[in-house]
Amino acid sequence: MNNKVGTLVLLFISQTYLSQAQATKSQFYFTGLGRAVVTSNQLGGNLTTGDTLSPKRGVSGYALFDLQPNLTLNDDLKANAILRMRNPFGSFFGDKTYFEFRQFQIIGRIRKIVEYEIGDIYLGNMSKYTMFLPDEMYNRYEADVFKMRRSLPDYENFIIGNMWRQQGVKTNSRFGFNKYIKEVGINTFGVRTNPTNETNIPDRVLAGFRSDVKQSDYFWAGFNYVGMLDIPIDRATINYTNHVTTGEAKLTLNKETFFAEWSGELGSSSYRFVQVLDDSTVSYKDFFYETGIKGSYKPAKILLFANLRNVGPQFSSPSAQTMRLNI
Amino acid sequence: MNFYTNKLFSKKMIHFRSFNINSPINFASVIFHLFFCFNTISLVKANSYSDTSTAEKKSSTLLIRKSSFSPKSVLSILNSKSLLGNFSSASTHAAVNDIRISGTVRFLTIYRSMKEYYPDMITSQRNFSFVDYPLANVGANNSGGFPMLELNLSNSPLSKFQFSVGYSFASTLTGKMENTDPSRQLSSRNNLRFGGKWASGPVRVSVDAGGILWTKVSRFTMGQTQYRDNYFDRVPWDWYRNSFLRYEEYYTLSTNIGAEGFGRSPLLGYVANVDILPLQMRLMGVYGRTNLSATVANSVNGFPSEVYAGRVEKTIFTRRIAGKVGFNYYMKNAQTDISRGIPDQNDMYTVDYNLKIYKILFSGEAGIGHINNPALKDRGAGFAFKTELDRSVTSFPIALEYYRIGVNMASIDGSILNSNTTIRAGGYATEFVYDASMNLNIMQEVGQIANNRHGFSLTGEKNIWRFKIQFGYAISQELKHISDTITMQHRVNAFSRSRFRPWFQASGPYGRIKGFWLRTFETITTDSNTTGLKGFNAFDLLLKYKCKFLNKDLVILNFINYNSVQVGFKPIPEMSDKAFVRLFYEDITLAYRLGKKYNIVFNAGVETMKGNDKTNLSPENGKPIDQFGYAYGGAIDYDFAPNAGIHFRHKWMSHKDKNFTLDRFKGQESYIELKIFF
Repeated sequence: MNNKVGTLVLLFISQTYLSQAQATKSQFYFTGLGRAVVTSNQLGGNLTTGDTLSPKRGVSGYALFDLQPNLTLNDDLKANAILRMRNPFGSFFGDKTYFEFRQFQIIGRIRKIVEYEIGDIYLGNMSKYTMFLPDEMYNRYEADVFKMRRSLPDYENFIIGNMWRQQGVKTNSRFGFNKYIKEVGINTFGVRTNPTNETNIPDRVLAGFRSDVKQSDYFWAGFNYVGMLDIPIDRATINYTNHVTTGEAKLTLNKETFFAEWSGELGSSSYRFVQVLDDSTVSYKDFFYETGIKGSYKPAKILLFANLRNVGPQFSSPSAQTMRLNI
Repeated sequence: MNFYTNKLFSKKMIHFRSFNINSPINFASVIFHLFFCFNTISLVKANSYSDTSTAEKKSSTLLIRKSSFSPKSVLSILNSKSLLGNFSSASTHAAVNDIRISGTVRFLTIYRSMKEYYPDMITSQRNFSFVDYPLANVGANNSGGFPMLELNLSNSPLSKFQFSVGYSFASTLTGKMENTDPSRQLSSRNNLRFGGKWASGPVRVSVDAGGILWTKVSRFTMGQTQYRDNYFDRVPWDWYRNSFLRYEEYYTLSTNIGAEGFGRSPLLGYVANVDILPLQMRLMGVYGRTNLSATVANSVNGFPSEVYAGRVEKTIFTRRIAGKVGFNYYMKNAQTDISRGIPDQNDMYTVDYNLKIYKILFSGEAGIGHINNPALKDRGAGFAFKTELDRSVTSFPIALEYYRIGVNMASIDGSILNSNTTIRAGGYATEFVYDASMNLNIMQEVGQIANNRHGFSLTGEKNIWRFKIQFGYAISQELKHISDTITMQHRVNAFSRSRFRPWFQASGPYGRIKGFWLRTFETITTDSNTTGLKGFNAFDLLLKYKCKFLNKDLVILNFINYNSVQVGFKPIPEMSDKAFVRLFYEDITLAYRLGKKYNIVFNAGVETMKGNDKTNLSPENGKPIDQFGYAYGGAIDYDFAPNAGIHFRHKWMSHKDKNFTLDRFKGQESYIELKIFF
């Protein structure tokens, strides 16, 4: 494991060096975002009558400016950071203004084969059972005025689509072939979700990869793995591992007048949690499958679909929870 | 993850979702939001690690083919879009050239050495300070000082959207090297604001958001009081690149050079203007909070305090009448505290005008106001009418104003000096000793207006050869007796004394000194058995002269002021012991241009303040106040570059009360300021 990490780091360093040596059109420029928000809230109704403790009105907000310096050394290496300045509404002349280092990213490409990102990265869209940040509930058809309000916490919480914002590294490669198969894609990632305290809490990492093959316009198949695990240390009080493995396939028939597709995903998870102090272990395994068909008769603009899903009660995939919680 | 929402209501909002629709709770939320993004690519396109179908959709134009694996096969890298856009394409971004960088370097050192001093001074008698106010956190305190480096980024003023962002760096030079030492401050004192402009045919709209938005609606409603400048002390916002030009303009200009906000109010929030050109009308809307809306302690805890204001302005331009008429609305909508829901509100509806009719300028404002707080539910009214004859009519320009403003016509964000004790800076719950807006029975400067008062003010000026004479005379009287207190302004050593115990309104050995930004006031009490309404007289005379001395420019400024407060409306200031208080102040400033880049300045001022036996009596000898203060000093200004100068000042100061024997201080103060504009 250590050798792999060392090789990987060495590869990045050498690539960075090469990229700099070959730099032909470096650029430095700024991008950014500014926002001023004031929210005035009011709470009323029978439940608040006689309540002298709960706030009935509140006015708050902020003005912020995210300044993002971008460095493009050449076609194969970019870096950026976001420096935030935020002033809460109501504080004057610089009082309570704070600064934050909101983002740091290095994005590069190794010999035009592997694209990588390091730092603050987005992970997602592997499959709904492996790496997926679900949408919030009950807002699919909301009005634009509420979407605007929702865009604020989304931006503040780095929510873009169904991807998780994490810190680590990821790679992405796609290869095209002219015989038998059309494309092969390989994606990998590794992030740390919780740091060690150097005594009894181990590092917790999330890593995985996805490989998919597009044989033709008719058939596609993919394999996913995501593992969340603690890096063992001698005095660790816990040891946690969770592995999820899935396979996907899709058959598509897309003609001029109709469209038909079958898709399916099948996978399993294994969970293990060890409490070292009382020598207790909880572990379980379970599986899921989902398959569906859909068809469309294009002149009628009708789409019909049917799904069958079976998710075991002990199936556990922490990076693909079914509800967005705790935000 | 940091989930942003209103701190007060974050839990409520989440709970709200769990209520069923019959829940007897109403939740209302109004959001004001201005947002802009330059180079949106960086923030919205995050499609990497997409699944195959997504990659297929996005890769068609990004396919990079390369022959390497086998001569017959073609290896291609399908380059998914990354966070920063495509590697091979030039991003559409705001070039760095579009961002303007400007700012100010201001390195200030003030050394004060006192032989005699007030016992409650917040510093010792000898004190080094690297900010305007000692012990203040620069850029992170309520007007605590100005930063050493103000770095402003802004975009082109011609663009449709603008931003102005200021990074303020400061250090109080404590000698501590740790990066975490609180003496190193990074903040944004002035600029964190955004704006947009739109034009659609004859309608033009502009919106500014953030802060600080220096805003004026009208004199009564929103736009803070202006005071006379001090000619010797340097102000932090001094914008002169040429030091001597400052004194030349004091000589040439009739109006005050002005404070930081030019009589406007600092606002956080939103200001929108809509110009309807065919109708020659402007609509203005203001929402937010001023620096007086909430206390520093309540500034960011969601305290329910907000300010609304609006103005409809019509421009009139005919053959005989030219000017503007406006209708103004202002409301401070607040509560006394965060949870009990008790209103603390005051509003104003006014009409103002500024019209030139047959070469005579008529201006004024009239309106009504309401107050609704735990101590008072009432309404008031007021007006001020002014007539001016300018130089196009006479060689002796003159202006006469009459005003009558009820005690309930109050706005702490406006220019009416406030005597209403229920209207307080920061809100109803503010203690008197921290209420900087309270000006009970103030001996105001000529031209200033106050509530619970009616009065005249007459101003004029005359040029005789190189002499310029400006005079002002004001007579006023309280409308009803509301307090046995008189507030007076100390003009000599005003800045120095305000640094003794900044922002506190009951300092000094007898708890009478009120410290403001660059100013000092004092309150004394009067005998409660005295009958009759108090009358106020103020006389100002400013003599200005410019000449050559040894073939160099010399500007002389001499200001004389006399104030009195007595019972009754007196046409002539009371000079005898019948006056509760008599205040005489005079200063003279000489600015001499030694060379193109440097000048020297001398300044001296004296002040006497005497009370009668109907005012506070000394616990030491039973006699009223009898104060004498002076200051004299010299200065050198050296502009070593077109955009940079160094300014040195030193002064000797003294204050002594014959009867209140503890009220005395004496010392010296030096300060040096390096100021560079870029």
